[in-house]
Amino acid sequence: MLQKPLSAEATDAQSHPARRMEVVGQLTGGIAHDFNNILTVISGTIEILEEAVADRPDAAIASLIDQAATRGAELTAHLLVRARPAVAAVRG
Amino acid sequence: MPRVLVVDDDPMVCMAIEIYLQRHDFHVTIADGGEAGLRALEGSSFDLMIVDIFMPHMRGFESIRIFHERAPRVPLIAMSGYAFANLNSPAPDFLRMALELGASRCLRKPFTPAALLTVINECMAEIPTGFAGVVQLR
Repeated sequence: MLQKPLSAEATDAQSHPARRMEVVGQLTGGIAHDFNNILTVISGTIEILEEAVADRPDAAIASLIDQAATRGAELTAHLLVRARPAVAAVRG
Repeated sequence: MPRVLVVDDDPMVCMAIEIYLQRHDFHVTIADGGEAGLRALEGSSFDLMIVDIFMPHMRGFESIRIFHERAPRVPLIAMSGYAFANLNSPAPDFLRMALELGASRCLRKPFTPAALLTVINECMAEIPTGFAGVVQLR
């Protein structure tokens, strides 16, 4: 079975545990960053929807979305703490 | 009506901030990157800038430094989705670095509209002339 040759960086990451952790950290940091942008959009606009549907029976749905966004924010904060050294290395 | 420039390479973030601030009677200009933001800064004057720290085609904290240099009297709020939750970390804190480069306030993404309005009001309150009011949450 033919396999795509690994890039020098991937080979380096495979053979060195520290480098591997750094790559994982960079990926984690990047994903957390993108999620934070998405959550900013949800958190920034949900209260407008909450106001609009306040007098409707299904108004709790908007509140549920808000709570989910808050949980998402807590999750990305944890991810960034774990990815911290790698993100600092990339961005610093 | 206070004029605000919002610069972020994510158009959805720009739009979300624009929608919220327009509801609070701000005049908002959005720019989907550093270059577009600098062009906007050349063509108009603003009372406040909200700028993402890390954007494509701008190395590291260059965005904060450049925007502050181009308009040193305009308060700048730096925002980032890379900011760390724990400020006791030994790793560099991006938001603190942004303050050292000229940002007036910092916001860690994701932020609530209330947090955004709070830092905007804090910035506006520090301007000696011009904007005198405080925008209330509603």
